Amino acid sequence: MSQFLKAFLFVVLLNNVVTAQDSGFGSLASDRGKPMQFISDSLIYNREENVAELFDEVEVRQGNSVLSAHYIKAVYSKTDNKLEQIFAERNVELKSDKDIARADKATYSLSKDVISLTGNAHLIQGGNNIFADQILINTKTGLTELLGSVKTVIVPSKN
Amino acid sequence: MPSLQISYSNTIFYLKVILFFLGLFAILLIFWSAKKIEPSTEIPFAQDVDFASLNDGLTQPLYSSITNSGDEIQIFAQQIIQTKDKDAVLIKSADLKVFSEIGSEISLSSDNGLLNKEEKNLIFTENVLLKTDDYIQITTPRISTFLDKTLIQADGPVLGLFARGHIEAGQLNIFRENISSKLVISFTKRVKMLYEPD
Repeated sequence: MSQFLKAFLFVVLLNNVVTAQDSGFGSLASDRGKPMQFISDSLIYNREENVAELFDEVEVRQGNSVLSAHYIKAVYSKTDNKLEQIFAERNVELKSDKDIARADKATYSLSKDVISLTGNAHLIQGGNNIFADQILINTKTGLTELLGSVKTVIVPSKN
Repeated sequence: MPSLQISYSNTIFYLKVILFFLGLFAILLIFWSAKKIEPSTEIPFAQDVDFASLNDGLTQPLYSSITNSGDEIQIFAQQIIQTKDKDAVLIKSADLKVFSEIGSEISLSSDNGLLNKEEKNLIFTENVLLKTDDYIQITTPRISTFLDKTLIQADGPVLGLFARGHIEAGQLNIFRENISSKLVISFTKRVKMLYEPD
């Protein structure tokens, strides 16, 4: 029976709630000001829109945080060439230290210090799996918010 | 007194007529002088200039043309040296500028260039530098450009500045497929772009 209890997973279904994770998302907050490295097989720059599109196994590394996807679009300011937003699509994964967030799409607003993951959004943090309609991560504080329909799979401690 | 009045009004009348025609002539003159001289549709260098007649030490030649994609290209050089190949000349301090319809500019320079009139291309070698008016700055060992189409190709490793950061890649292609299409700047083969936030 105890073996069964150890293996038992508590599945919690919560609808239309907002859940905040206080522990923060990896080292995202401390990585925020570090240089950002974009790696891909190809990059196409659109001068008129000041947009760089990266294709095929794209990675954006900043400190210990890595955003990867099949397609990433970097939008620069037309006035001062500052990076304003990053859009990621297809097999999106944000990894920071041991924390992982996966989704179909992600938007990183550098001016608002927010990363939004939508479409099959899935957070893996401290051994827990959380599914939500949207995951919002504040890159300044690391605070993670789970929006919409939230489903949590909690693995109980073995002790 | 009446005869004086008649002659005065006649003088005024003729002066007015002369003034009218002078004004008309001045307007025509302005239009004639402002008429834009269209660059030739073919590169005069590639078509009209006979390489054999060029002498060493020819300074500051300037050639301009419109590519089939609608961009204007201009070629500058400090010196043109004949080669054994009758279709090719060596260019010292080669400089090429590409102007698009919206006014944006790409400039390319190198210590040496090889212009081939048969292949209608200009190959830049040694200290090759590509610059755009939006702060992209690329160095690479060799760049090929074409005189009749908007196409710039660097097959070697490219390094440079890009959007407040750095970029490196294995290949660079800049092209415009036709007049209505956008200018494409494409980096390929293991692209690494570094962005430095404030």
